[in-house]
Amino acid sequence: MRVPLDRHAVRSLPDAASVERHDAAVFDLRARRDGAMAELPELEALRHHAASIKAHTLDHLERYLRLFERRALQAGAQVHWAAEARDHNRIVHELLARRGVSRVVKSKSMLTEDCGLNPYLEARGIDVVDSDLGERIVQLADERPSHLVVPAVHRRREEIGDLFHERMGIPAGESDPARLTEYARRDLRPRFLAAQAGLTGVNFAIAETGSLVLCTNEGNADLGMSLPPLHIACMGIEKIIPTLDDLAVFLRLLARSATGQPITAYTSLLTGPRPGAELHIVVVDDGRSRLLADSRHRGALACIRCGACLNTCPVYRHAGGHAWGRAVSGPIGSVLAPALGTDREARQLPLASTLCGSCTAVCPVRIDLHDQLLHWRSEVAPPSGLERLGLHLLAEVLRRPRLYRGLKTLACAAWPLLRRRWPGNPLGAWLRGRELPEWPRPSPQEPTSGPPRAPEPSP
Amino acid sequence: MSVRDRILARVHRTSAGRVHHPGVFRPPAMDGELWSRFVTSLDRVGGEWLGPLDPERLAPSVRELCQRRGAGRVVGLPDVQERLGEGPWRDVPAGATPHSLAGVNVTIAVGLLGVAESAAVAVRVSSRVEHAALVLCEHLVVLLERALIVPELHTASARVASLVQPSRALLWLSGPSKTADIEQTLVLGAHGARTLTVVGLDPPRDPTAQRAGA
Repeated sequence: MRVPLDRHAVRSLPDAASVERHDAAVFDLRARRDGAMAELPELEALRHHAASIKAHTLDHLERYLRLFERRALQAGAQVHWAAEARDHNRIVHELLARRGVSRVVKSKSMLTEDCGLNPYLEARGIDVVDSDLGERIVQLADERPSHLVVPAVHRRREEIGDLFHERMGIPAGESDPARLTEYARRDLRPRFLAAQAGLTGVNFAIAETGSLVLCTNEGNADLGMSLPPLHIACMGIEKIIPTLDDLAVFLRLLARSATGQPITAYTSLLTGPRPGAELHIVVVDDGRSRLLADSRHRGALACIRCGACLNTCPVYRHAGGHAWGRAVSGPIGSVLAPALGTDREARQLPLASTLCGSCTAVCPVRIDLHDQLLHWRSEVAPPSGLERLGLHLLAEVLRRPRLYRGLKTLACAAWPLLRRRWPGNPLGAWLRGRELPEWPRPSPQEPTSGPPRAPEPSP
Repeated sequence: MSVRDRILARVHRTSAGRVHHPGVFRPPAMDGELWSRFVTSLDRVGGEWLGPLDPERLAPSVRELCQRRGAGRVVGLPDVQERLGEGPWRDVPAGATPHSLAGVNVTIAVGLLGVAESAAVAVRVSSRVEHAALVLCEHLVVLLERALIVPELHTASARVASLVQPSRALLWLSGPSKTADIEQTLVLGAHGARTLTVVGLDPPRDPTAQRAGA
């Protein structure tokens, strides 16, 4: 079956050079992750602990959601609940419209990307400025983020220079990352100061204190939550963790898994609004409770959006994030899409995987990603009657050594004929470009003459 | 039934309530002197450090550091004046807005705790003005007593628990603002402070010990 990933991949990374550059860039993040993890002797214990906390939380999610809401309300925040993406967008718009807000700064939030919040607000006359540098680049280019952590990783510095020249009026031909960053800083600072509201995502929500935790390296979320008097934080129901002690486990894993840093440059714990400000927390379901009810796949809700599975995935590295056609790409995107998405393409994404298991090996919360992909495959594309018959026959043959040897001899004899192109050859397309490997002599199944030889003594 | 109740009811139906919480994570003991571990980590995250300094050398060193960071407004967050005495640093004026801090060159804050393995420093933020002062400035200086450095975040969590209070924020700062969003090239000073310097403080000398030494 041809999967939609192929078609999008060509558009995202159009030539071999861009594929190679993208591959090197994201695998560099994987290498940094490996280096940081190697310095952590308790890494496996920490991963197990994180996975256990998430499993416990998902199993008691209703209790923790209620506790979080109670504590957040006690701290002075207002909590809103959204069943679907459209409810989320409507709630955010109403909060802004009631206060006459027309200028908003937003920090990185995959949930709001998934909900299509930016176009929703822009269609209603609200200017939304994405403030994370990578997000700002893709916003100016009118495209989606292609990575959870580095949204513009598919873009070359020269392209970004051209984009800034066109959209921000910087001198033509600029491609130095430090100078481009400085231009973006100068362009965005007045927008922060002029913003009437700050929109943020949430990395973790602590039930026992009602606190929100936001992690950034740039400090953009901190500007967005301190300058304007209105802060709207949007979170999925799965962002809850029980305690402050639990937070330490996830903070030690998040940045290490993402970029190889020990912790992000800014980690802010916000408990209720500060004097003179409003804090609104929008808690979103949008299919998550449906996924929670699916015992085989609910583990995907443990994801902390570090992007480690993307950086190691051979399909992601070569196809690029736009190939997924949605905010969350890579292995976790392929696992979440069929559960949360309703379109046909979402259900086909698990087919675009090598099932190598590298994603599972690096996941900080030990989500069994490749097993989930395999499971989705069996649901999305169950084997046909012919495939099932073939597998049944193969099993019968493998049970009978004499039949197996006979068929092997027959296949070797027929091989030259089978490979040849002749009309009606059922294996023609499959066999083209394939070679029958040289048969070992003697075959491992045939008895060797005499006892096995002793190993040569070492000198 | 409200949307909230419908969501909670759907979630409730999925809860078996059988998976236990694993408890508090117990990390292995960390070897080595914590200040040196801290500054090694700080160096790796792009931060700078001074000290640890005796109380007598503190104010002159911070004054010199502010001069090195160039001319401009210097803001001291709560407790800074108390620690440093007179100098170019000024308290945030009463009634100031977060926006009035745009253009601040140096902000000085007092760290509540430091974490050796990540060079993270905890700073308590009681208002949007204090929060903005920490991010809008060009250069950030955090004063941190050497004795307040703990090995890792698990130990730190227990110590900062009492500081997580309503209407407050707690910031962990680890190095200056940074980005690698353009071709993975690390650039310091994306939106927030371009430099972060942690000034280590030694406790005041014990006068009785001084007399004994004399």
